[in-house]
Amino acid sequence: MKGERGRELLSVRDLTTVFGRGDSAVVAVDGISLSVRAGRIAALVGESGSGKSAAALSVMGLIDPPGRVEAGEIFLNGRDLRRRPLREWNACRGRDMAMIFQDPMNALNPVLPIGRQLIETIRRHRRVSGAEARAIAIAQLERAELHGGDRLLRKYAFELSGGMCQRIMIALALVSGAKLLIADEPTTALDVGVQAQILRELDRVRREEDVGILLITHDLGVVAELADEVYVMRSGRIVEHGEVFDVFDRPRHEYTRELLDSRL
Amino acid sequence: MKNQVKTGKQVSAWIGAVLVLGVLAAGVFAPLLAPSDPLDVHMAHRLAGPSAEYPLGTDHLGRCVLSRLLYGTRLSLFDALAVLAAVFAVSVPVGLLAGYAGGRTDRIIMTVIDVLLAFPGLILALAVAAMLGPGALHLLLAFAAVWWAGYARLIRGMVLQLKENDYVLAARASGSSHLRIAFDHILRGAARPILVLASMETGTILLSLAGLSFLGLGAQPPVPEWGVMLSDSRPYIQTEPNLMLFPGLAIAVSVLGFNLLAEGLREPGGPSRSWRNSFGGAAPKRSRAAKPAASARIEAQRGHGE
Amino acid sequence: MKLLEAVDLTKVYADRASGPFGRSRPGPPAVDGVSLELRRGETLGLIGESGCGKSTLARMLLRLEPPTSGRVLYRGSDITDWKFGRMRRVRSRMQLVFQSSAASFNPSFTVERIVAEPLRNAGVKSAAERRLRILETLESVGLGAAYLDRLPAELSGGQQQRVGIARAIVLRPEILILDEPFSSLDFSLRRQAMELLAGLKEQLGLSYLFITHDLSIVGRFCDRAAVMRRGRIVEQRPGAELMNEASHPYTRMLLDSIPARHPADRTYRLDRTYK
Repeated sequence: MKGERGRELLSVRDLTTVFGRGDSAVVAVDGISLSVRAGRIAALVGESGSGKSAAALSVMGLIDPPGRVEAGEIFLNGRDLRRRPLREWNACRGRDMAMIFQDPMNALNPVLPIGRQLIETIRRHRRVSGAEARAIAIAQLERAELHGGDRLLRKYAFELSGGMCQRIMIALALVSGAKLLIADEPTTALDVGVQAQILRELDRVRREEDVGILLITHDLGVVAELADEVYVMRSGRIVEHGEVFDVFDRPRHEYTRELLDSRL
Repeated sequence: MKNQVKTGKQVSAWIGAVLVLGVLAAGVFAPLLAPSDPLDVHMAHRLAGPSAEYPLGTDHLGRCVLSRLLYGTRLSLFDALAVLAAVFAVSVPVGLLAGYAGGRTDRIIMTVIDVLLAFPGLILALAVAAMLGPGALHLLLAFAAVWWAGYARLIRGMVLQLKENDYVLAARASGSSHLRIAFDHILRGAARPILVLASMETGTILLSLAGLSFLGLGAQPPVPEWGVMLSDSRPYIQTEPNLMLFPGLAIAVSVLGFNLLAEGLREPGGPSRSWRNSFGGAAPKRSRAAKPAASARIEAQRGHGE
Repeated sequence: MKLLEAVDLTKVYADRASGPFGRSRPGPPAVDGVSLELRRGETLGLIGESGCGKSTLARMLLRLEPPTSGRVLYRGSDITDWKFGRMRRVRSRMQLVFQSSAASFNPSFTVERIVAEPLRNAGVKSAAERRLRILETLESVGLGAAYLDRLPAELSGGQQQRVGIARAIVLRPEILILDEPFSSLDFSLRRQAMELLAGLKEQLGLSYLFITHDLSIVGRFCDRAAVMRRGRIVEQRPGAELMNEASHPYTRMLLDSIPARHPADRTYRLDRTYK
C-alpha cells in the first residue's frame, strides 16, 4: 500500500461532456484536463453551473442521457476507461474509484442499517464471508474514529447526525479498496463544526491510506485548508491550474483573482 | 432519451385531446349529425345491418344505432362531467379546508371521510341510488355523495405538502391573509394535479355510470344512453354482436381519450427551456443538473462490479 | 431604542417519536427561555449551527409561530397575542429575507407579482401605484423594469436574492430578519449581496437581525452577536469582540472551525508542509 504516494491515479485529457442535442445542446465540460495522484488532493473549484459536477460524473461514468461524454480520455490506473467495455467502467466504480456527495443523508439508503450497506459493498468487491466483511467494516469505521462497533452497524441513517453520515459515506466509499475518491461539495450541507471534522477525515485518508482525492467545491476556504493543487473551472473550461500556494499567492487568471477577492 | 419521453407524452396529450374533443363535439352536434331520431321505432327494420339510412344498423326496436350513440354522448359523457363537477365542487373546498386549517377541523373532516371510505363506493352509490329511486339525476347525486370523499383526501394530501413550501411562509410573513394564501399559493399549486386527476376520473365515472345504467339503476329506457344500449342489446349478443360492440367502443374511446389526456397533462412544457436554465447560467439551484447527480449517488457508492 | 424584544421566549414542540399509537409528549425545548433585543439601527448577529433553534426564534419574533411561553415586544408594546388585523400593521414594519430565495417564491408568480404581494396586503389598491413602488424598489436592489415579467426560474441565483430583498423592503420596513442570506449564493455573489445589504441599511435606516452559522462574517457585518446553542444563548458580545475574545468554549469551537483564508493558515493539517 505504502510507497505508491504520488503515483498518478486519474488522468483526464480533453474531456468534453455535452447535454442535450442539436440547437439546445449545452457543452457542460469543454475539453478539460486534470490529474489526481495518490495521497494528494486536487481541488476543482468553480461556481454553480461551471461544469465541475458534470466533470466528476463524467469520470465516474454516471452521466445520464441526454448528456454524454463526447470526447477525451479518462485514464484510471493507466487504463483508458472510454476505450474499454462499459462493463469494465462499471466494475471500476466502487472498486477503484468512489464518490461522495453533498447530502450524505440522502446518499445512504434510509431503510437499511448502515452495517448492511457496508457489508454488502465489501462483499460485492471482495470474496469474503459475512463475518469477515463485518470485521473489515468495523475496522474501517474505527480508522475513521467512528467507534461503537456492532452497535453502530445496526443504526439507520436517520439516527445519525449529518457529519456522522458523511464520515460513514467516506468509509463506505473506501471500504472496498478504492484509491480514488471524488468528493462533490462534501461539506457544503454541513455545519461549520462538522465541516471541520470532515475536512480532517479527508486529510487523514489521503495521508494514512494514500487515497487520491478530487475535491469539488466552490468554497475557497476548503481549498485553502486541504488542497495540494487547484484547478479553477469556469463555463466548462479550466482557466487556471497550479499548486495551492501559487494560486493563492500569485493568481494568474483574472477570474481566479476575482474569486479570491470576493471572499467575505 | 428524456426528449423522446417528453414528446411521447405530448403526442399522447394531443391524441387524448382530439378524442375527447371529438366525443364532446359528437354530443354537442348530435342533432346535426344524427341521421334519424334516436327514439323513432321502426319495427319493420329491427335488427337491420348497416345501410345508407342506418349507417350502423338498427337495434331490436328498429332504432338507428348511430343516432342513439350520438345522442347517448350527451347523456353518458355530460352526466359524467356533471358528476365530476359536483364531486370536485365538494372535494376541493373540503380538502383545502382540512389540509390548510389542520388541527381539530382536519381531524373531524378526516373522520367523516374515513367512515365514508370504509364502505365500498359503488355499493354505497347503489344503495343511495336505490333509496332515491331510479333515474339519471338521482344517480348523479348518489355518485357525488359517495365519490367526493376519496378526492377530498387526495387534495388534502397535496395541500399538506404545498403548505410546507417556503413561499407559503413568505406570504404569511408579508401579511397575506389565509384566504389569499389558500387561493393564490396553494390552490394554484394544486391546480395541475387536480386537473390530471379530474381527467383521469372522468373515464372512471363514465364507466361506472354506464355500468349502473346497464344494471338498470341509471338512465331508463328508452333514453339513448350507452349503458342502457349495452343492456338492451344483451339478449342479442349471440346473433347481433354489433349492437354491443358500438356502445362498448364509444365508452372505450372516451375513457381512453380522458386517460391519454391526463397522462399528457401530467408533465407539461418542452425540455429546451429547462436545459437552458440548468446550464445557461440562469437558475443555478433546483436545476436539472442536480437530478442525474441524485440518481447517481447510490450507484456511485455501491459500485457496479460483479 | 429597543425595536424588537424577546422576553424569556420558549418553544416546545410535541415529540412524535413515540410511534403512531403513542401519546405525543412534549419534546426538548427548541428555544429555551431566550431574551434578546434588537436596537434601532444595529445589526444583531444570531449565530448557531443547524437545529440550534435560531430559525424558530426568528419565526416567533415575526409572530409566524406562537411561543409556548414568553413575550414578544415591538417598540415596547406586547404583540404576543395580537390578532391578524392588528398584526398586519406591524408585519409591514418587519420583514424576512429567506435563505433560499428561490424556494420562497411561488414558482408561477412573476417578479412583479412577488414584490406586489406585501403591497396588496398593506392595502395599496391602485395597480399603477404598486407598479411605481415596485420599480423603485427593484431599482434600489439593482434590477430594472425588464425583470418585472420574469418567473423565478428565469433568474440567476443573485437576481433571485435581489428580488427576495426587494420583496422585503418594498413596504419600507424598520426591521429585516435575514435568515442565512448568503449561504445559497455563489461565492462571487456573496460580497455583492453583503454590500447591497449594508448600503440598504444605511439608505433606509434599517435594523437587521442576521441569522447565520458562519462566524467569519460576524466581525465585519454585526454590531453585536449572540451565539445560540440547543435553544439557549450562550454568549452575547459586540461583533468584533466576539471574534477576538470569545469566552464560551462553544464559541471558541465555532471560531476554530472557520476555514483558512490562505493555505499558510491551515488549522487541521498536522503536517502543514505535506507534499
